[in-house]
Amino acid sequence: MPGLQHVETHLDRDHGRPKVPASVLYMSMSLDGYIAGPNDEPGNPGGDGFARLHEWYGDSQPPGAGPSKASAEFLDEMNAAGAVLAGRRTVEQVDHWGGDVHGVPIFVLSHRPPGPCVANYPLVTYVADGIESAMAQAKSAAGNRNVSVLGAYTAQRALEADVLDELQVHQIPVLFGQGLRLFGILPSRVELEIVRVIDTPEATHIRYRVRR
Amino acid sequence: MSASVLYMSMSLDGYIAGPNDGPGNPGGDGFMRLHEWLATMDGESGRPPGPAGDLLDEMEATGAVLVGRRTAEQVDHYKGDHHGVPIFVLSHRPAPPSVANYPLVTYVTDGVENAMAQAKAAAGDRDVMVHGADTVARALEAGVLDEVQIHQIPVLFGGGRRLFEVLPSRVELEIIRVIDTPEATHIRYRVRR
Repeated sequence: MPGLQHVETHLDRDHGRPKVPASVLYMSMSLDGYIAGPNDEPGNPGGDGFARLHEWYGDSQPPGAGPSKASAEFLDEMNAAGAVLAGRRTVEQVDHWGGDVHGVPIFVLSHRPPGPCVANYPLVTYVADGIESAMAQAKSAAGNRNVSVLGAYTAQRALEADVLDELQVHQIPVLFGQGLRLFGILPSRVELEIVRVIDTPEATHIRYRVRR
Repeated sequence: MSASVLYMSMSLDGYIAGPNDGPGNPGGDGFMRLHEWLATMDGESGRPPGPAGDLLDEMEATGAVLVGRRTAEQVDHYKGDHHGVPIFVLSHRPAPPSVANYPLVTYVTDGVENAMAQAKAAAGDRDVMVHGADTVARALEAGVLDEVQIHQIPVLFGGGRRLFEVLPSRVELEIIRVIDTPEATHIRYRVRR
């Protein structure tokens, strides 16, 4: 069996390409497509076993070692985003991150008005008139920076409406067997381009661009 | 040490077949999209160039095939010949009459453990190639699948037949090799026990 070594170097097919602000979905997903375990709800964010999907992010590193190189890169990248667009199911499980994701505006896609707690979170805006409007507002707020997209429902609506530019999938070497899937049924096929693959023992980090 | 290895081309959203798959439409609508990475043949050698060719060689070095009936019947049991090695078909029912013409095809009706044991015995010191969504679920449940070679295709199919449906328990994997090409991300996993 050749190639037992993991090399944290990667071919960036975007090298030299001008950077354009993009909407980027960030999700940790099991090989069988789950982003949450069973029984996810407020009080059990991400459901049973959710932490398994996020170990790559640093929990598995030796104490004091800090995050792995890949984790540090993605943390920097996500912190450089100028706005967050997330679904209501996601934000309510984490109390809207206490109203603050590295200080940028947070847009929440929902058909219903926000809960009362959101009055205390000036950076949180609920958008009730659809994904196109939510993405337009998030992109406008982000200016020349990226928009981070979080949540399965939001990702599916953004793909359907063709307002998602890129997908950063952290593919975890586990079969969850059940839970909440990232991708449901889509009305049509979506072609992607593989922009970058980072191979680590904890996860395969694959960046895709949506082809238009 | 020979291993049982699942080989499947899968879309990012987990599909291995499009909608409407059946014997007249093997793999369903759009199935070829998942196999384009193998279809770009080099005119001279008749095999795909680069890493795809190496992966094809790896598959053809296996010593037996274990496949589910649904898969086998869609492709007429590979007309009885899958790179010349014995083909074991997992099924609850006896073989259809057409199989009488295929001496390399053996139906196994008493479970995946027995089917895998027969396939491993036939393969000798070579690997066993495993195919099919139902078969992989049974093999994972029974603890007789050793490795998983996924050819992950940069496409969202949006519908069809998924490789992994509901499993009774979580299965931990180890990433043993990643091959990064523009057409597919080839990831090889070992099943942790």
